[in-house]
Amino acid sequence: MQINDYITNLPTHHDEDYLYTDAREAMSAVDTVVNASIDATGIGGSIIGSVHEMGESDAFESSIAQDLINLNTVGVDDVLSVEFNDINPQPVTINLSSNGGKSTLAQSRINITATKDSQGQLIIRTNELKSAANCVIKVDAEEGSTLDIIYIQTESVDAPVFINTKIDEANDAHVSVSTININPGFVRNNLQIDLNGEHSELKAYGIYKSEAGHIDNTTLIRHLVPNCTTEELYKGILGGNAKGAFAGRIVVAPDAQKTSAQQTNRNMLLSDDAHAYAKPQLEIYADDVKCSHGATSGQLDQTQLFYMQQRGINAETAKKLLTAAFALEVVNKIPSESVRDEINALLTNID
Amino acid sequence: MLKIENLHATVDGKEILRGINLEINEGEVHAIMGPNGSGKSTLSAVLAGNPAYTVTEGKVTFNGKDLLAMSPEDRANEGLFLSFQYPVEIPGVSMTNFMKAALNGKRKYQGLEPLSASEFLKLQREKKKFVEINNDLTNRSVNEGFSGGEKKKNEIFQMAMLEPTLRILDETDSGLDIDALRIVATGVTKLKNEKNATIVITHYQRLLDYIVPDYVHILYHGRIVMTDTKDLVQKLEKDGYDWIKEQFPD
Repeated sequence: MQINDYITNLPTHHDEDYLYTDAREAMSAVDTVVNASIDATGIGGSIIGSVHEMGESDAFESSIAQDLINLNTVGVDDVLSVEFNDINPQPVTINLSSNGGKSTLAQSRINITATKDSQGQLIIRTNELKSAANCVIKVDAEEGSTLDIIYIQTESVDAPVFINTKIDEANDAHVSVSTININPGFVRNNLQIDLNGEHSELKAYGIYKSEAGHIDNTTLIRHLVPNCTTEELYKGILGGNAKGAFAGRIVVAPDAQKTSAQQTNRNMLLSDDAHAYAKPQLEIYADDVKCSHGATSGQLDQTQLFYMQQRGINAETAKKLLTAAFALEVVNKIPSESVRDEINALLTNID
Repeated sequence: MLKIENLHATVDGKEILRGINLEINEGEVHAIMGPNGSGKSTLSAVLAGNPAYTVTEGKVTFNGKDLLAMSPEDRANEGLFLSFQYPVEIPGVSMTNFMKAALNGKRKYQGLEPLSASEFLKLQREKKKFVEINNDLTNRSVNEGFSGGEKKKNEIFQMAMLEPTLRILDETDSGLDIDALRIVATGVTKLKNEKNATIVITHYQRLLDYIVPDYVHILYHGRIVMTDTKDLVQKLEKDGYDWIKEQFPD
């Protein structure tokens, strides 16, 4: 199959999971495929890094990003594997980069394994993606492992970026995924987590802030066995003509009794032309579960804004402080002090 | 300093101020009293530039400038301070960040460099001591979870930090116990000097026992219907407002 065939196969907004992001249209300018550059730091000691040629054994199934994962096999020669063993206080940072603008598609494939009882942290930065991109990250969290994954994007170009993550959790695994998109150009994050082992836990946090971009977070969390926990919280700040979407589905299988799952999406709209789309979905097939979901969108509190202005704080600064305060609930949950400081500084950056 | 001429204002299309005239000079303390719904709080909101109110007629000059043409923040930076009847809670914004943004906003307006972090903290320490404010308040989010008394003390602390030239106290005494009232009133009095002026909006005599007015105005149905010395306060305390209502029917 040629690259064009793969792109023609991509879902459009007629597909249920792509209502807010037309992947085919977004990628329509692509005529060249390259490997994204991967720069990884923090590997060493009990963290093992290796590269192998992409092969059939790397194939896997995804319920929300299969066509993008199929596309990801084109022109991607190598797979970077990172294995967390033991307890690792230092994070691994992976920087993805590319050039070429809209017509070039940069792809990469990363496999992450958190071995039994290991602890680790992975920070994936995508600021240097200066082309269209389609990245696949496959994660195995083995029994008793603890893994924090943080995606950060704070700069962008006008080209579509697709980040597809698939995570499998075994018994007693604890995984958190924080997804931060500040000033995105055009970003779609596909996040699928399968809770396959009992007493496993997932925390999924998201912050997005945009004035002119497109940001779509689509998540699918599947509770396949009993006694697992999900906490999901995404907050968006949308101004200008930005478009933000959150589509979160939590599935609780018939056997998954004693599931506890909580999903929240809150948006703050700063202008009349900004749009927030929220599609929270719970599919529950078990009867002894505790699940909740909620989605809201609101505006700046005018009494707070006036109070700040009355103290001499100009409207623009006041808005920044208030939107940062809105995001703070999520920022405080990011399991990395340096990332929290970085995001707080960006959000409250005032002259 | 402040000159209000024939000021008319509406909220939600309803006319609340119906031709206010008032002149305030440096060093003066003016009390504005009046029954509920007479327009006292509306006057303070309009002067501060609250966008919920619409000025339909009249003119206000402050330091020779057209006050009504200025944004709320420029009015503040020009020296106008409104102590809110209900100070606003802002969860997630720390008092320190809030105060720093306010102070440096004013310094920028005045063409001054922002204060360094250590200069700021030193100033904050001094002013907290000056107004007898508990250390703890500045480590929290703005007014979040503060008691009524703490909120009012926090207003006075902010006044001490910003050193405004026109201080408007909107029902500062409402909901205060006698100890908090004393601290607030003492703070306002200690911060008084010959260069600043004060407008005290209140229902009751008790705040005016501490902050002694030079002039007392009675606001009724959106107009100042009477201006006198502080002796008027005693009469209102004794006789209430009924005689005003009789003397100035609609």
